[in-house]
Amino acid sequence: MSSNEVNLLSISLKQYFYKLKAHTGLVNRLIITQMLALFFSLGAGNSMSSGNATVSVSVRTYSASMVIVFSLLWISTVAILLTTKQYKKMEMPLVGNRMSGNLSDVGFLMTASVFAGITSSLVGVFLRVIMYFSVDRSQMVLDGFFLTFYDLLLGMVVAILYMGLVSAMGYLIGMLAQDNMAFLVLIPVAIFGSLRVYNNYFFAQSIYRFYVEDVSLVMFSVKVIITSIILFGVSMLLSNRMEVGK
Amino acid sequence: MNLSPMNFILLPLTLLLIVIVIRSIVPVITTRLSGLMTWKRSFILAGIYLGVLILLVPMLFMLPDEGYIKLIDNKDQASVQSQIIIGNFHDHILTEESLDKQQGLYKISSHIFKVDTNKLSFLYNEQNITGDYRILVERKDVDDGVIGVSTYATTQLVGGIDFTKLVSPPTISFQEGTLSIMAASHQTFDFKQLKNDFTLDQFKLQNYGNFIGMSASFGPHIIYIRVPKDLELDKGKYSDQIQVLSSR
Repeated sequence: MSSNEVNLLSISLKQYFYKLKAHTGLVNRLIITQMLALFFSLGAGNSMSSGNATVSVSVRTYSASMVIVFSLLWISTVAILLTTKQYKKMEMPLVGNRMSGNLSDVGFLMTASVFAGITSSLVGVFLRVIMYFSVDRSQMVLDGFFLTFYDLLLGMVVAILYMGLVSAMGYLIGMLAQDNMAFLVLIPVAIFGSLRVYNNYFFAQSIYRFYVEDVSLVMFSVKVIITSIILFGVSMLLSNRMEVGK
Repeated sequence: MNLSPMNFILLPLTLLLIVIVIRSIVPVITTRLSGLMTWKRSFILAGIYLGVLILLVPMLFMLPDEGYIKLIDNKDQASVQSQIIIGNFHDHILTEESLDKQQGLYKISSHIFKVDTNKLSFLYNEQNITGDYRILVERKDVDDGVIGVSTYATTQLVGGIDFTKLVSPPTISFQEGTLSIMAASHQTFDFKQLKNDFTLDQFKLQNYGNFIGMSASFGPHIIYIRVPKDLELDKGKYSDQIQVLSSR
């Protein structure tokens, strides 16, 4: 290992710890976001109603999926924020370069992904405990209420992987937006718009299915990790190119 | 979602108002909190938050699992059985013995009345006794002066939840030669079910099958009346609804 590599690693680590301190306020926003999503999850479960002349039956289903989705939105916002000039200025007091700054950003995003992934899955437990104390058990379906420890761990791992993937996407969008602000709107619109197109063979939907329909955890993990590395790599290349451009 | 013209205007206005309020309040709160929320306090808050959530895990595992509704495993079979019963009903091959043994059919009440008249009339609340109720009359081989009334309910299923036993049986009474069948008033059931997060469903092969599990099946109720051999039946205006079974 050359002295340059050691320097880059140690500087990145210093910047990483500095950012952990500097951006802790973002975690408060995550907590507020998750509590808000929990509140929405409790009030707006999916409902199915049926009946005949003598009975009306409704089955309302609840899940903490909204908490995970809100956390994904939070991590993507954080990833974009880290690429902004305002946040980049915070690195000024520390000696470093674009590469060390980007590496420390990736480290911070990974830490945030782990925290958000674990807490968003655990909010699902919180939801169940609230339901236990607030809903009559004779109205509650047992199946799905109790989670096994394995399911909880699996949910956490998958949530962390999704957070990592979305943070890498957000970071790339943020980098592109530094070049041209239009990307900040165009890319999310293109992603969500293409997913709404009713065509199973549409390219964007194939990409979506590539991740979401994978039922093997190992394969899914490999896909997400490789994709995240590529996205972060492209972001760093873009960042270096911008530095040279300036 | 149907929006009335008034709501059509009010909804965007409300959303706009919420956005304005949030935009004006958030900076004030953020400025005030930023002074209070040092990085140490934020770290402590994050630690407490994580700690509390972790503590809820053993709490969830310790909660009792009694008193909940259990989904039935063979919901499809129960539904099929209900359809067979309906089919048999039209074929006139039902007997009390066969009903008692029939899978997917529950006996929910049983009554015996002494008959002191030669004629039996019927009375029921038509608004509640609809096509969901089938009234069958069987003549006994003997003239024992006793009317037996049994009520049955076929499996009532919604999304795998069997709520048959929760449905109130009709009130049956006999007075001065008139058998009154009063169905319970309209009942409403509200069940709640927790589903896995999408992160877990992806690996449990449930992402695309949720709607299949939400099918509903409302089988009919059967009121089975056994009358003495020589009792005269006055079906009155209910002749279409009351079916007298052929003697065996």
